[in-house]
Formats: sequence, structure tokens, C-alpha cells
Amino acid sequence: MKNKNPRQKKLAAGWFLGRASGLLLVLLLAVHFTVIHFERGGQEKIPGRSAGFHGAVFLRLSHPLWWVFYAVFLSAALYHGFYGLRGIAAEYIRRERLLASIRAGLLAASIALWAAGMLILVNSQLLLANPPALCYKCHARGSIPSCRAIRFFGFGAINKK
Amino acid sequence: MVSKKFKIKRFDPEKDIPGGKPRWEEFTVEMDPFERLLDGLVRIKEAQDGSLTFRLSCAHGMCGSCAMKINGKNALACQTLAKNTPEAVVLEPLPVFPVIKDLVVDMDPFFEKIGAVMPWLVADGPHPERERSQSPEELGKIMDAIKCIMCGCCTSSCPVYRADRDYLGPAALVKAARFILDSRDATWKERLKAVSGENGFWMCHSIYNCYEVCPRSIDITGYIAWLKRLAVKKMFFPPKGQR
Amino acid sequence: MRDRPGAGFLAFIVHRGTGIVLALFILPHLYILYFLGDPARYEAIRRFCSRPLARLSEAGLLGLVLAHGLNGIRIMLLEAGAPSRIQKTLFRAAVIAGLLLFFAGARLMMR
Repeated sequence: MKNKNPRQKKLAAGWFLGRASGLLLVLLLAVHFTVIHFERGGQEKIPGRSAGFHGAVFLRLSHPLWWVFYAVFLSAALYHGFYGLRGIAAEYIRRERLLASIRAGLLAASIALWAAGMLILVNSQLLLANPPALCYKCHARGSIPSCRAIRFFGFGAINKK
Repeated sequence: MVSKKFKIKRFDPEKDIPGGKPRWEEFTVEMDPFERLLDGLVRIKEAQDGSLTFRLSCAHGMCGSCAMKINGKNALACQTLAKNTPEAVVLEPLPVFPVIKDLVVDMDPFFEKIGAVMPWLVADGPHPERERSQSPEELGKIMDAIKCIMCGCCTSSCPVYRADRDYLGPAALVKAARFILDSRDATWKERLKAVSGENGFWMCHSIYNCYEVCPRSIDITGYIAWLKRLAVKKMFFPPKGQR
Repeated sequence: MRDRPGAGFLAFIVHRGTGIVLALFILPHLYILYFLGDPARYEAIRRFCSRPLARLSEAGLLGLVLAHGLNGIRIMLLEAGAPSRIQKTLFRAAVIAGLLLFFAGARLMMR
């Protein structure tokens, strides 16, 4: 029997993706918080050494694995978040047409946010190829984040100039 | 004998405005600690206020007629002993369902949902000479779910059902699971289709209210989770023929 | 219409509330990242974010993420077949793990 009720399949796949993206987000957020938020405290004393620092973000983004990490993070967070909002809307909104337009709006918003996020990621690669002055300066100073967390997760920046 | 105070939420369709300010009335009844709250209600109706309205039938936890909200939790009045309740008992009709009078609610929306999941056995093949037999293992799979007495405690305690009356609700989903799991039933595909739509089990958020209130202690949320797993499994491995 | 809030119901309310806030948080987060193309503006924002009050709200964000994530794990375990009778135990475990991780994480953040 071949996919006789695609509607049912779509719902099952949507639900499964919701749960799978949730599980993925738990792991990604653990990495994200360790790198950005937990390490920062100790390094704030040395200016320009934090993982959230502009140069540090770029150095991470210059590594393909970090780039993929953020692309997956963005996609999973947006899917999970908007799948949830969509379900909540369906629960509380009784008027059929209002619900349909809110759902369409949510879908459009999630696509727009995904595009914006991907644009930032793509743009980062263009900027890395052609760094602006300040960014170049910190590269030149060689302030590669000495973040233990980044080293722990194995992939630091590779193409330092 | 102990003195029990019954605080009852009342509604008289001939006097009160539906959805208006609730009218609370208090009655005091002398009760044996081992008597059920239902006995107290019967005594109030017989001796104090004949207009007090509630449902009762078997009075032994088998028919599900006397389901109501007792001290903030859905339960059967015939299963709640006086000794297990505080001195003052607060009785309300089942939430969410429309109130007809006092503790009597309109159960039609509830049974409509159950009807939507084909709550009957569809066996295939010719009639056997005697019964369609099941092995103890096969019976064991549905043993918990067949205990359901359709009292409505679960569905009316479900926050999702409260928000969206289109949701099939826990009782109907357990009924569907009960027949999908039945070894004698032949139509599990249609059954799964009936409960895996927009208003089916995907709306369940595993809140466990149904599990907590069920007077028959059925693992309702567990059955719904099983349905979710079944649907995901069927998505990855489309079934060929029988399950 | 008030229900005695059971563990599952409490978990549901918290999950929903934190979920909505976190979903909406994606928008300002991406907005800040948009300034990665403008190092001076980005650094200004980042300096603002390292002020004490902003850091406190950062710890709050950690709290939201922990509450939502740990309860999410609880729900996924239960839906994957963990017996319903342990749902309250799992809830307590999530609360304890959440508090421990929150204070450990907040300490690292506020250093």
C-alpha cells in the first residue's frame, strides 16, 4: 500500500521532526551555552578574548564544522519553535479562517527568519574572504580565542590569517 | 457518624442564566465514615432538597454515571468514601461539558467523540462455530483499556480538550487503542486513520491529568503515547498486510 | 474551572510558557547577529550585553532553556515508552537537575 493518506503521513512526520529537533537542540544548546556563555565569564577580563567577541565568532565561522553547526542550529530552532507555536495557535483559535491566516503568517515568518539567518552565515564567509578593518586588526593581533570549550569540542578556527 | 458539609455548585435552567454567577448551596449530612459521597447526595435529595439533581445508576463504580468534580478533582461519587474526604466536600459538575442541571452535564459531545473512533469490533472471516477466542497474552494487551466505563473524568480534565473541543480526547483515544490492539479486530488501519488526524492524538501533550483522575486507573496517557509510536513506526515502515 | 495542579499540569504550563518566550527570542537573537557585518556596532551591543543587568537576564535565559529542555527530555522519554507511573519521579528529577545546572551555569556566567 503506497502512501494512501499523505495528510496522516505529513502529520506524523511533522510531529516526529518536532521531537527530533527538540532532542537535537538539547545537544546543540549544551555546546552553544558552554562556548558562548559559560566560558565568557573568565575571559572577559582579557578584552577581546571572549567566545562571543566579534573576531572569535568569525574565527569559528571560518571552520566548516562550526558553520554547519550554526546552520543546523538555526534550522532546528526555527522548526521546533514554529512547530510549537503552530500547535498552540490551532488549540486556542476557533475561527477557521483566522487560524489559516495565522498559520500562513507563522510559516512565512519562519521562512523569513531562516533566510535571514542563512544570509548572516553566508555573509560571514564573504566577510572572512574580505575582512573589514577592525576585524582584520584583531586577526592580525592573533587573538584566537583561547577558549577551553572550543578546544574541547575539537574544532577551532583553521584559516587564521 | 461524622457530620459532613456538602458544598454543591447548583444550576437550575429555569431560574439561572447559563454561564452566569454560580450558585453554591451547603448541606450538612450525618454520615458513616465508610459511606460513599453518593450516599450523602441521596440523603440530601431525600430529606433536605428534592430538587438537587445528579446522575446515579449502579453506585458501584461500574457505570460511570456519578462522575463529578470532587474537591477540585474529577472522580466518581460512588468511589469516594466519606472518611477519605475533608470535613467540607466541594462538589461541582464535570468541567467543560455543558451543564444541564446541578451536577448533571450533557455528555453528548463526549459520546460523539467515542462514536467517531468506531467503538465496535470488526472481525473478518466467517463466523467461527463458537467464540472468537483470544490467548491470555492477546487479552492481556487490552486488559487495561477494556476497563474503561466511559465516565468522562479524563476528557473533562484534559486541558487540551478544554481549549479545543474538536480534540477527540483521552477517552476516545483509549477506545481506539483498545480496538487496534484487539487480536480479533481486522480494521486497525481505518482506526489509526480515524485518530491520527488534526484532532487526533497529535494534540496530546502528555499532561497526565487523564491518567491521574481515571477512576479505573487506566494508563490512558500511556495508550496515547503508544498510538503516537505506532503512527511514527507506520510512517517509517509502511505496513504490508496484517500488523 | 480550577484544577488542582498536578506535576504533569505544572510541567505543561511551564513548558508552554518557556516555549513561547524561547521561540520569540529567536528574533532579537538573529537581529543582534545581523550586526556581525558591522564590527563596531556589534561590539557596542556586546559590551551592553556584558552589563550586570543584561547578565542577570542571560542567566534567566539559561533558566528558560533548562526548564524547557529538561521537561522536553522527560516528555520524550515518556512518549518513547517510559512507564506513566514514573512521570512524577521524572518531573522531580528534572526539577532537581534543572536547579543544579542553573546554579552551576549562573555561577559561570556571573563570574
